[in-house]
Amino acid sequence: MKLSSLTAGTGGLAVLLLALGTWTPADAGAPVPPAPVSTEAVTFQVDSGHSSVLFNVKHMEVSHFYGRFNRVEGEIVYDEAKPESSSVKIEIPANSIDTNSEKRDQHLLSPDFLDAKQFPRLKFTSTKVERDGALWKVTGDLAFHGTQQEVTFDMEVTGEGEARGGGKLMGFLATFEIDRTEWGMEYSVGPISKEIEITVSLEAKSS
Amino acid sequence: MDPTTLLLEGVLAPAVLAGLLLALGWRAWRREAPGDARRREAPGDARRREAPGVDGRWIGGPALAFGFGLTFYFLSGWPASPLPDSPRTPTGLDWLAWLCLPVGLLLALEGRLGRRRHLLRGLVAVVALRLVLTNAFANIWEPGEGWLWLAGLTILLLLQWAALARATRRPGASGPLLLWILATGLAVLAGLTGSARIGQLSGGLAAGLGAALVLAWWRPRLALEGSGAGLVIVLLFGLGLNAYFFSYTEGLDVALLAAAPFAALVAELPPLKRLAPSKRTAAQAVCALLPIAVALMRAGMAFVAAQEEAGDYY
Repeated sequence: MKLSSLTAGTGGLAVLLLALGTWTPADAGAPVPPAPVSTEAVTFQVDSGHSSVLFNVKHMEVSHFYGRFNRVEGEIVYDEAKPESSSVKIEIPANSIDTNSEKRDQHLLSPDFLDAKQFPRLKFTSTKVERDGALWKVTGDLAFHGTQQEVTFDMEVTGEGEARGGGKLMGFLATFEIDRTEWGMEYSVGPISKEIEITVSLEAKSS
Repeated sequence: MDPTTLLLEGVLAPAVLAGLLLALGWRAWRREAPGDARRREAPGDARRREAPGVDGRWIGGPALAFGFGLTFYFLSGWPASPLPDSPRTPTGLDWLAWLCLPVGLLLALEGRLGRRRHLLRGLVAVVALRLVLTNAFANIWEPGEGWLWLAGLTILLLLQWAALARATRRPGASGPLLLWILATGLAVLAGLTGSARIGQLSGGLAAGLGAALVLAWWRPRLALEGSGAGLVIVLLFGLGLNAYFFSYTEGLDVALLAAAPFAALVAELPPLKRLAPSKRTAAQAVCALLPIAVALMRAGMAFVAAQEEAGDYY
């Protein structure tokens, strides 16, 4: 995952203008100075309306079927200068599942799959964040179906910008695969693959 | 799990295990239980022969508990540990798996407790329901609401227990047949209403009861009265609560199933009470089947309608 350099809001814009104003042809070919780095951790709240959580299973070993969760909540603490101080906390209400079939959604919420009445939220809490070049490597505990397991995935910063009404926007994207049986979700393995590919695309806004 | 494996592990294995243990406990190879010949001569013989605790009746609970535990293990592996540092939180079904053997063993003592058995039943009912409903207390009910549910459900369970104890008190096939009907009814209902796992576990319990039924038919002196009936009612009640509170089985269907043990008592009233044993067994089965059949018809029609509307969504 690529991580673009983070410039801090209007401060970043000022740095950019300053750089443009002082640019001379003599600078052409000169080494590009490293982008300015925010020295403070910034806390972002996930905007559910512009975020997506998709899951992909293989059906009857034939086709890929995609479903989604329509709500996602959470907080991302982003510290570019000290990546290890960053953190990711995501929660998804299980009953926001949407597979374009009410009956199937109901079955997916039953004890055969998510067991949503007993475990109403899917949760991810990071325990370690590292920077690996352009990618951020996030390790943490993924909990659903009453079971918590450690997962590691790469996360990409897909963009950044100004939010309407103030604050800063950042986009994040991660795709990773889990084996659902490790979370005790053993039902119908075979017709429905035990491997689930999860794609999380988040838009988050700083306050 | 393919159907053959499901049949072998979810039905055949628990039936064989429960059947073997029952046969050993009941000493089914003997035509008469030890001591029967002596007791036949003694005054008050009939009452004593039907008293709980004689003729190996204690084995019913433990045998069916082993069968149910085996079904659970084959379907879901070991249940989640309830210890605080466990990475898994026990579900209502996990709690039933943990509870089945201790409850089966505790109830094996019932025959020796006399009237104090009611105290034991009350204790078992409260503890079992509180544990099975742990996640409902945490995620569904408001504080205080859960305790009201627990109180009401405990009373209902104890009433069902009393009804089943009465309906299954005679030796022979009538008791196992009634319990088998209840377990099979719940298995089909849960399967139709979108919780295959609850259906499969009920099916495993029904398989153990099927073995008991065959043995009791072969040796009519055998009975599940006491620990066997007690364990079955606790497990069925717990599975029914899982279906209603944690899955999507409709309340009316669960209530119809819960009414079946009371319906079976109709066979204890005149004129059915005076029928020959085989006819009374049939009457008892029919009485219990009536509310179950209504529930299954309702669930079946809803299932077909959903299939027609949504297609094959699996």
